[in-house]
Amino acid sequence: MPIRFLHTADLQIGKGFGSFPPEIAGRLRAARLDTLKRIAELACARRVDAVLVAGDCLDDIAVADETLRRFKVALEPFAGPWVLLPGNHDPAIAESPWTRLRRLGLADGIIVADEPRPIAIGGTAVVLPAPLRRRRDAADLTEWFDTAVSDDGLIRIGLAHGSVEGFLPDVSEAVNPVARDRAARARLAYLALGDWHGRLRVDQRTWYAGTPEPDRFKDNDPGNVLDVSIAGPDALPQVEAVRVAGLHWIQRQVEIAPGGAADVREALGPAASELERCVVRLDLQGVVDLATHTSVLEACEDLGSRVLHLAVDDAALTLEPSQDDLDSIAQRGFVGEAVAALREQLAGAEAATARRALALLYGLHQRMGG
Amino acid sequence: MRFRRIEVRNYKKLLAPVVIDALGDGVTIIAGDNEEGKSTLLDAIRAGLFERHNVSGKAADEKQPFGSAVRPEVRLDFELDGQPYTIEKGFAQKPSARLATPSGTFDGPAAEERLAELLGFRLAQRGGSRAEDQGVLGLLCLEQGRIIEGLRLGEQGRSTIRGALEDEVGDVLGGPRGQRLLEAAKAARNALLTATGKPRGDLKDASDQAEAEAEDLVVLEQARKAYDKQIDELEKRQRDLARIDSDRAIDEARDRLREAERDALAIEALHRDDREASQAVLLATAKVENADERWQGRQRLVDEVTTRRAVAAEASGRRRALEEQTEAVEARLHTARTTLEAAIEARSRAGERAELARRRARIDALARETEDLAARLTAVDRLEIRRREDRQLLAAIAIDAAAFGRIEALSTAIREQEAALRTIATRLRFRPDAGQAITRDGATVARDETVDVTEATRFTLEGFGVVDVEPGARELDAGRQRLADLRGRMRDALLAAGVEDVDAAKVRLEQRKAAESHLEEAQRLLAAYAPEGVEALRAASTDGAAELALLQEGFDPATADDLDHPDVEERAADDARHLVEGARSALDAARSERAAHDTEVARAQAASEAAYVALLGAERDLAAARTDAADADLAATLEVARGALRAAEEHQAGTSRALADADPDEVAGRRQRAADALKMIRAEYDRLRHEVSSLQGSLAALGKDGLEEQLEAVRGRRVQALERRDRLQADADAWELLVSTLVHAERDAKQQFLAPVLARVGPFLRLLLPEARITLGEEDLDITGVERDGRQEPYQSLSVGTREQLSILVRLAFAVYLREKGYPAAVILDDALVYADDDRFDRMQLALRKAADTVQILILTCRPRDWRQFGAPIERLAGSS
Repeated sequence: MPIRFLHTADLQIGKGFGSFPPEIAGRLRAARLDTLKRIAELACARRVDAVLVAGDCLDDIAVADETLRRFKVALEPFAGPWVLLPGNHDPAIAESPWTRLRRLGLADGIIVADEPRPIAIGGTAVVLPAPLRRRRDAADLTEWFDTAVSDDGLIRIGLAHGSVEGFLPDVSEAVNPVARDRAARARLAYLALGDWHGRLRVDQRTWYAGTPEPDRFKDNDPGNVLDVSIAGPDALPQVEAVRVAGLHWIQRQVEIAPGGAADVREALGPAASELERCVVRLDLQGVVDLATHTSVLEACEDLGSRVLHLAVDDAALTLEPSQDDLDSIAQRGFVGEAVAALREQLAGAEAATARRALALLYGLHQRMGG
Repeated sequence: MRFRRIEVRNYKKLLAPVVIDALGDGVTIIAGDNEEGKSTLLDAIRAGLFERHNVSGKAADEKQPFGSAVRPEVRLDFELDGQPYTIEKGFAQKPSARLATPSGTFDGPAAEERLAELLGFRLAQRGGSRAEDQGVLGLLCLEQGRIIEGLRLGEQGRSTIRGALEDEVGDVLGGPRGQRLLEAAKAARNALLTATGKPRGDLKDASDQAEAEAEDLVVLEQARKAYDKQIDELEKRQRDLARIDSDRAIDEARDRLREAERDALAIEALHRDDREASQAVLLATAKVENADERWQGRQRLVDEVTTRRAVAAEASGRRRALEEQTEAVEARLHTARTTLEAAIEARSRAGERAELARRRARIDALARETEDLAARLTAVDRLEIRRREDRQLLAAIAIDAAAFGRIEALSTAIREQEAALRTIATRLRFRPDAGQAITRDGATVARDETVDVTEATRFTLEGFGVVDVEPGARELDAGRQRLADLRGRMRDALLAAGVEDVDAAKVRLEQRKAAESHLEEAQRLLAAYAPEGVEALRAASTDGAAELALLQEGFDPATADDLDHPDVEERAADDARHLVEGARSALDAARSERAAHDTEVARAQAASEAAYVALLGAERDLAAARTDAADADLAATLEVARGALRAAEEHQAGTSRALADADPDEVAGRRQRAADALKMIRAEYDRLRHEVSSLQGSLAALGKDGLEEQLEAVRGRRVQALERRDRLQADADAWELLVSTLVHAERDAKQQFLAPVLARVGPFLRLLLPEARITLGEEDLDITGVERDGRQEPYQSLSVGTREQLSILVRLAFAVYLREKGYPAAVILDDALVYADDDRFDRMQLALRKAADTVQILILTCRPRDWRQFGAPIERLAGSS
């Protein structure tokens, strides 16, 4: 008998986004719940047998009751079964979101996989979970999959949260390791993994679904759920990535040429049609004159009012007043002398302050009608 | 500008017309004595230039000569750019103004407006002209006393000079736009920073907010730590609970307790057996004790009889012994009594002898004393008689040592006076041939007798008749008179002393001294015989005689013949008394011994009787007891009881051994331990469950609001606040840099702006202070001070003379500069350089001469002599009318 399920992970409901202005942070938090709801609706629409969440449903053990309630509500469109695995953000410790959710009351279709025990799904499959009971575990919690007994004919599906050894870039493998050949050793038809926020195929039976709602400027294909169909215990899984993300996180390095304020406006390219759903970060580079600097800032302000959020880093944007700039500020009088003195400082230790001072003077000058 | 002619009339004190004509291009000295109107002339020039002709009120009245109502008039002829101009003004009455220029003539206000335009000053809107409106010319035409105040350039003057400077150096200041930029930058800077560079406004708010968020963060982080710690605690307790469950610790403890309780019941049965055996031993022991008691009682009765018998025999023996000693005791008592009586007799006799001896000694002493007193009384009576006689003698002698002294002194004085008279007396010696008698006042004068005549004296010479001699010495009368006085006083003194002459007086005085000596001696003797007074002596004598008579009464001296000295007799009496006391003590001892002996005897008799009675009683008791039970029966009963006791003790030893072998302590301890263990495990279990429940409750409450979400929000807010603060701080730094750079640049520009003027001042200043550099205010263009040796000296701190000289030099520089730039300028100095020393005066004259190459200078002075060597024409004010 075949099985079809959605594989997702790293929802991190309740994530704070504290580095954003409060109103934007609120929008970002709401977006994650919306996405979860969309996953539930997708599960319904596709009539899947289950939704497996491979860890980090919640951002922290100390999220608010209100967040837990909203989480429950977001699950409601799909009656289940939901198999929710505790990850490193929401480990199954003595007091955890899972104990609290149980106190709040969980619907029948919601299974908290906080024990390393097989969970039967329908009559066709068994899910072997490797819940985290602490934030970091040096042991490979999936080891028991190898010896777990299941009825012949059942499709064995592993569910774990951690780092596949020797596979992921930039990740410390000392904690929460998962053996790279676990699927083969444990005769798993599919090993559903979480923790890596991008979609990633480890091998034909082992996948990271990635977070369904991006939460950082990292271009590793987040924003999907995996629709997995398995025909039988030995069959290879059919995996389809389905886009569910609500927001786009876009980071661009923009090289500004003198007079190049248009570079800012064009930086987003094709995404321009969904600007209001974009969280944007621009890293400005280049050497510009005062006039360009002013117009670039204006362009940034303009773009900022069109997107959900815009962060601009202009640390690498070098201000180099041109003769025209200087002439326009001070053709005569002591102001010209002051500009010259500030220019001399552009090569010194206080270059950044001098540059800013020149820009401010230029701005004042412009406001007084050029 | 050059003045060519000045005409003034009816102006203040310049009533008569004053005309100063043909003024040259360079320096002209206008000399006038004090009060001649130099300052009035300058005032008139200023009125001609700057005042409105139709000025009224005080400004107009002041221009009229005191006490008159005439029309003050001023006419000034001058050249501008080589062209002739004339301004004429009349004030107060029929005021008028006319300006004649090469291009035409202007009258009234038009004339004044045209003149203001030409010369660069501002007409007053109303009232008199003010210094600040008079422009550069006002600066250059200076009244006496105002020079040292500095330049005090008004807006009009500054404007003129600035215009000239901008023409030359261009707009280094950048005009008003530069100022606006600077002001805007300052405003932006001041919105973020205080004067001292501390944060304010948005920057301070951002800093404060970052700090506040940091504080909130600390609180929340602590709460989060506490939350995590509680979770750890909860986990630990849940683990402990699970361990208790999985170990079946409670069941195990309960089983152990049950087993211990079973063992304890068996021990209890053994205890019961042992207690019963102990009871049997106790009963048998009591029976043995009872039989033994009866046996012992019989033995005591037998012993009692034996003891009583011995006691009665001993008491009887003692009584007999005592009765045998009674006679000896009685004999010792008698002897003591006899001894005492003899001693009392001896003591009585010795006492009488001592009394007699004392009486005889007293009689003897009194007899001697009475005799001595009688003798002293006799002597005293004799002395009293002599004293009476001497006192009578003294009473009869009127003279004393003082009176005698006076008489002797008078006698000496008389002799001396007589001698003095004789020296001046007429000395006569009669030597009759035939021995005829010569008498004087009836008294015969012997032949060859020297007769000193001191007064008119009549000598009768026999056969001759009478010769009257009258000594002629003038002092004789006075000497005689003195002598007569002395003799009169001598007579009085002798009469008072009761004597006839000096010798008699001396004899009487000697008698007096002898009587006084006798009296003193008698007094001394009296004191010796009767130191306590004569009456006391007499009383003592009487009392002694009376006592003697009393003692001698009934005293037979014959009885006292064998008596010894009273002390010896007294000692004998004492000895007799001691003997009596000794005998009395011995008698008391004998009596005590007798009484004690009697008591002993009585006691021994009583004891003997009592011992006998007791013996009878004991013998009676023993006999009665033996009638009740024989001694052998009692011994047999005791033996049976002892056998029963031995059997009971053997049984009890068996039960005790069985109990000890069962180890009841171990069983009790085991039971207690098992009970404690169960209790403790249960308590531990309950405590853990309670703590788990409590921690779960606490965590539920703490976790409700989402600590991590709050933390993340605060972290975010803090990061945002820090970013905002950093951004604003960067802005503040940039504004600070911008403002300071602009301010520096502006200051440099101002210095550059003033450079042309300072360049003109330089040559003049070098004449006066070669090493100094003058500084001008950037705004008001006034003198701020001088720099010397790298030090800035404020203008007001300089000496009055230096201030005056600097003030003139800067004016000259301005005038030269303005002239060079084609502006109208001329200098008029009123009584200037009054504070200059000779050297400075010379240097200032050099400066004036130098300036005069470019500008016209009129110098009003009351000291034309100072300017004679200057080489400029000198106009006399007085000679100008």
